Amino acid sequence: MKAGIGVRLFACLIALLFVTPTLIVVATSFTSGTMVVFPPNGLSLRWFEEVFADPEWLDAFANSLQVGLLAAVIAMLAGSSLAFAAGRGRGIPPGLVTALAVLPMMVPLVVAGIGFYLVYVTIGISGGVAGLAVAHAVLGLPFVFVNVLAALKGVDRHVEEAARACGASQTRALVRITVPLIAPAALVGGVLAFVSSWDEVVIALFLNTPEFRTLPVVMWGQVRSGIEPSISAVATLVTAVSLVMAGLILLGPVLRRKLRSLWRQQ
Amino acid sequence: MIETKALPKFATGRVDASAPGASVRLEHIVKRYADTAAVEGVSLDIAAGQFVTLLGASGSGKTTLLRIIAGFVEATSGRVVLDGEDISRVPVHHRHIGMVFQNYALFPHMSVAKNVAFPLEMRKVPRRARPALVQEALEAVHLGEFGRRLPRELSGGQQQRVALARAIVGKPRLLLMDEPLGALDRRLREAMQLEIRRLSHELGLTVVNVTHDQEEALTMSDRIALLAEGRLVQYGTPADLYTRPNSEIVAKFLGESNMFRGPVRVEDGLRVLDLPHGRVVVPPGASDDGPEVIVAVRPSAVRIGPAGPDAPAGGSFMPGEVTACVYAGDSHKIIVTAATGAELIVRCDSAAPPPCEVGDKVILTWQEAAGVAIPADR
Repeated sequence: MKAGIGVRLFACLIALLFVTPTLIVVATSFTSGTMVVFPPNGLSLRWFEEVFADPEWLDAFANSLQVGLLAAVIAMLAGSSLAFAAGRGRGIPPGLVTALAVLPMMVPLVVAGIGFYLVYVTIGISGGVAGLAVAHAVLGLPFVFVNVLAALKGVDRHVEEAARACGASQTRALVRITVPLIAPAALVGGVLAFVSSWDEVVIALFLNTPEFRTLPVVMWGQVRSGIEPSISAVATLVTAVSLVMAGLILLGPVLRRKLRSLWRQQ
Repeated sequence: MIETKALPKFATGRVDASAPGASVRLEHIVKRYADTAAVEGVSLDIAAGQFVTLLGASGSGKTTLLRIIAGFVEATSGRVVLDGEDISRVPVHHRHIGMVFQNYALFPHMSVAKNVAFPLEMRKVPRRARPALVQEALEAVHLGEFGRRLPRELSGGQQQRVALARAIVGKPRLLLMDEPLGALDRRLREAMQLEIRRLSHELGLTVVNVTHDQEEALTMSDRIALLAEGRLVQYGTPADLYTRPNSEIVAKFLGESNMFRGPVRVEDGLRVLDLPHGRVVVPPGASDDGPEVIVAVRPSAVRIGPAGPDAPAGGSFMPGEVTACVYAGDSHKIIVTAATGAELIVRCDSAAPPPCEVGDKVILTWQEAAGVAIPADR
């Protein structure tokens, strides 16, 4: 069925509504003035230069990047394992595994934040990349889990059996056949986990220390003490990273196909 | 029929070219799930190099039996013996089998060549030797040019050929096929039937094929094992099963049959079925120990004629009324409701016009020798 003109107009309007605030923030980051105003007063990159010269921002960037990457990796490993348990496991009811794996989506962030804070303080691992990455991995895990479980359901059991008949042990069949088949889904889940960690502020606030802050935490602190266009510049950069990630997800399959056809031509 | 021991041209890389396929013996295989039995005590002897089809309706246990031979399912009791060696406890990947699945089950992320090379890699064939073997296998299924394609870029028939190449490239002792042609259309299926048969004979493979398609079983097999409700009903050559079915199930499963069932009585020195209408002579051969006997007659052996006032002398006959007359290409299929209420089928040559019309009172006759007597299932 084709969408009518009215529906299309409405969709455009909604999309505009979603995108406009971001566009305005991005626009303000290019101002040459000292105030966050729209439209910006003159054009310059001075606030980006300022951000890149400020060790506090740079540290926060590095922290966020490390936490995000580590969280994505942990989420991919744990989420894929849980998806296997739900899709292929015997013993534990799949429904139970699924419920547990998507639970982090349901728990309010504040509650999770307090929980991690209390536990980390007790065992003394507060305020570091690893601690926050684990917490963020839990948040990102459902993305991986749902994606991989769907991919796993699409993997024909006979394909695994064919590998076994070809002489592959259960482990080799898993490594050579099943894992490559679900890897793209796990990667997409990992990118989503990274993005969700990248702009997560609630848990990061609970687990921050003066020495260890992620980007959203520093932004939050800055906003509270008065807004400078450098915030807009950081916001623009954060958005850019997220967009690049989204682009990877969208373009990934296309790129892979291109690479394949290149390989075949040589 | 070609004997299978001829040295296959494909056998150049074989470790032991003198013994291509293995012999298989199934000893009283039983498989129970909770309280239902999928396979109930099947014993089967398959000679090396033979093409055996496990034939049966769905739920007959044929697939379970194949999966037990493959090693995907462990039998509750019984043994699988390959070349005299009990492999019941050997895991799948050490059984050295080749397997073809109904839905091809190719590795979607690997090229055709990589798919076919996979068993060689798993069985540690030296890397340098692989490309030649892969090419040989692909050429055997007429896909020599397709090595670099991805499975999804091939048609169903081509994919199944790749699956076949993958199954035979490692020179398996046993080739198992689980409804290999079920997903193909009719013409392709018939072409593949002949091709699989040719390949298996050329390579001297022992093949166990599973199907519910009686035509496929008759065309491809050296032996057919007909299964029903988890039991082996009859095991023999296609001709055995077709012309000398040992039970009602077999007669019904292989081709069309008209069946008459009743107790035997002697009339004018002839053994006939005790039926209220007509006369059905019981051909010799059936055991008389049961209370009832079934006489099966193939539709093509039945003659149809207008009903007369007198019963025909000698031979079998059955009066009835034509209820349908269908043109079926190579024959007219005429359905007659017999006086006994049974629905009977007659096949007539389609070159001539149909001998009757719907509503005609007719009389069906056939030679005594055309019938087969079967002990009735109790």
